[in-house]
Amino acid sequence: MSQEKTESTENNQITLKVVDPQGGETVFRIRKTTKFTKLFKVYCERKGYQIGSIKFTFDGILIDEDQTPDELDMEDEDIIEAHLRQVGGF
Amino acid sequence: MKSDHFLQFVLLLSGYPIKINKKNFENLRETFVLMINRKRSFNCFIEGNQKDFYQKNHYKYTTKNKNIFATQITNDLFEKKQLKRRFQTQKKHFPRQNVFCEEENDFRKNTKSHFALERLLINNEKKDVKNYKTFFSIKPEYISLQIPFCSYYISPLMITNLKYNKQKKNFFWLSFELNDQKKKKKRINFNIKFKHKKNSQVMNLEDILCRYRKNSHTKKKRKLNIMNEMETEKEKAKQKQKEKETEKQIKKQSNKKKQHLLPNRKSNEIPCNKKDHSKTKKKKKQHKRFHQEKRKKNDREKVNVKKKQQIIVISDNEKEIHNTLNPPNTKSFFNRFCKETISLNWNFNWGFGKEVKVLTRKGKEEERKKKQKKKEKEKEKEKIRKKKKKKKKKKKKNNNFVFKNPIRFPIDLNERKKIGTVSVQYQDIKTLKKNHCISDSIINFYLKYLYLTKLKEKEKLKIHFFNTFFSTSLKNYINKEKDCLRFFNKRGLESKDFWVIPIFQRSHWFLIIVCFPSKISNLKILIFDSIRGFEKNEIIINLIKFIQILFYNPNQNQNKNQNHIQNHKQKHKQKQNQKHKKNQNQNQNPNWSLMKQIVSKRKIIYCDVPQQENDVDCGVFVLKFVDHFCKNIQSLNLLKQKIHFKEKDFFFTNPQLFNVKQIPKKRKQILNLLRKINLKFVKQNEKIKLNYK
Repeated sequence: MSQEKTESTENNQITLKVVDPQGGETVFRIRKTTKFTKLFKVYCERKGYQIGSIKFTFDGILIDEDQTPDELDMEDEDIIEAHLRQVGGF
Repeated sequence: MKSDHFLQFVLLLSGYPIKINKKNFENLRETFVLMINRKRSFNCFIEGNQKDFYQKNHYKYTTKNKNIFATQITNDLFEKKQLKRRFQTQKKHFPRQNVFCEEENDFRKNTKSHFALERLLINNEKKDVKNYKTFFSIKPEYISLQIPFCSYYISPLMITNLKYNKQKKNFFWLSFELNDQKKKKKRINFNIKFKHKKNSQVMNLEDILCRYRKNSHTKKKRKLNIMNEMETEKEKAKQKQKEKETEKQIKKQSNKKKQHLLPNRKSNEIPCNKKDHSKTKKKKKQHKRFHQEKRKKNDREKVNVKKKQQIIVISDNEKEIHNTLNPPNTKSFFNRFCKETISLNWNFNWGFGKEVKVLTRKGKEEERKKKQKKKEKEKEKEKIRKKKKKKKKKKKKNNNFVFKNPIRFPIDLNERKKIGTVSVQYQDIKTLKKNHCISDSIINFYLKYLYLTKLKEKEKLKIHFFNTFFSTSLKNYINKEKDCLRFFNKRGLESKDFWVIPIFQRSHWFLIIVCFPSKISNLKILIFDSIRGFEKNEIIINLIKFIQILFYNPNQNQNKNQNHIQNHKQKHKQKQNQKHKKNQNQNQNPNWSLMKQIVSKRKIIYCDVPQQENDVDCGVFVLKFVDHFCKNIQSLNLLKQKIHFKEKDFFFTNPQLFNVKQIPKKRKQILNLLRKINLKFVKQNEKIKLNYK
């Protein structure tokens, strides 16, 4: 029983990289069914940003907080990019 | 750096209309880069008739008769000394160069931008001496912080002090207070020379200042008026004593002495005497006014009769004083300036060419009447406004935003997977107000709205809208080819003929559209920028590399290319040979082969588009360009692959594509769109809650 449980958890979990605009990387392990809000909160607390000021993209697509990695068809060792908020007029 | 290029650059920054050719553009770009790299401050001064600058259709900035100059000044003390020497040497060549303003070191400590006014009169003609202008020196860093020259604007309202400069004759220290955008006050001193003229009006300087301060400084004005009255009373007392003395003297003196005086005057200075007549008469009219206001009607008639007699006597006396004062001593001149009335002619123009108006008595009365009329009109307007406000409030209550949650777009979950979701927060909606810079999420939102609603399904297959974050992450894609190819395969960029890419660079938005990236024969890169002359080389090079990795990479995509060629062999033999040649070139220089082809065949097009007047609206311009692009695809059938872009026929070459006044309307449109979507969003959430219950 114990082996089956671990296997099932391993199947559900995914490792994701989050890349800064400067190039730094941080690795997260997440279940496929959990929402991204947890990941974003943890990342922003660690880096010291406000939650609204950073936006995440996956292969050129903006990610919403309510979405899960299962909905976006994510796989192991996929890369998520973090971007700062852009305000411009010159 | 050549002086001509620098001048053009300065003129462009300060908002003058300049025609930009291909030759000019490269030079301007170089100077812009140089100024940023050097990180030095620069001063400039411009000379010439104002009419030439302010007429709308007049683009020339140099003519034979009028000179325009620009200098560059550094912060280093050593170089400053050298420059001062240079100016001194210039003085010898141009003897009429009289006005020279100096810097003060204190400003630099407080602010990054030190204001140093420098003015040089170099023209030899008298007519052009009247009209000249000044610019403030501002660091190149500060220009990049979106502060134009025009925000520092001097008007006579800001004058705080007037002092006499003892070192130089006829010069005065003027100090100003400037209001920044941040509402910090700064003071500036510089020298100004006053000149006499024949037909000049007699005014107190304080009186002149009072008029301009009426709106802003009411308290000071009262004090000054009281001071004037006090002074006039004292003067009258003195004058009466003098008059009595002179009357006695005149009675005693015979007519012979008068005859002695007259020839002396003529021999000394004839024009000076003519001046004095005009001056003195006008002075006394002023003095009369003060009396008349105080005294009652009964007394007035007596006073007038007496004064008319007095005036004649005084005029004779003052002529003598004037004769003694030519050439004027500094102390006596200063005393006269402060206490008595002096004939001044305001030869200079304030700041950006607004002349100081010296008003006469008629002018005063007219102004009063105008003000009364204005007040009456304003009262009527206020009543109308209040009525309108009440109506608006009722309407607003219905249309108020409910911003408990951020707005998410698109609403359907299936579309979110394909396109991605944008969450518009309250921070971002604030940016839609006037004079605010636009944030990324609004641009992303509007592009997705256009993609879903305005485009047909055939067009959706051929057009791809990129995110705003694509421009920042382009550098990372180029270094890693794996990421590049994965991005390429997932989004299906291969089949798409138009890439619409909003680009964010150094806090500036502009748009690039890539047409037919898969075929070199049709490939075009269109650039839409609301400010010409902005640097784009980095992004264009990166973008070309990105295209090269996707389509023209010899190592990994050889098989693909060969397959393409085999298919095309039967149809077109000419294309074959081209592609073979390209492959051969790529093997020699894989990094630069595509660059050469693009640059040599002029595939990058800088479109002539309407230019922005603010420092804020560039984000809205980008949205406006995309709007027109979507409209014109339907009308021109651009989806056919064999369209040749002739520059004349192309629709974006209009500099008058749309009016600049439409842009605040565009902001309101987007706000209304968000309002509608918010209402839908709230209703959906309510439904979901009900279903759960």
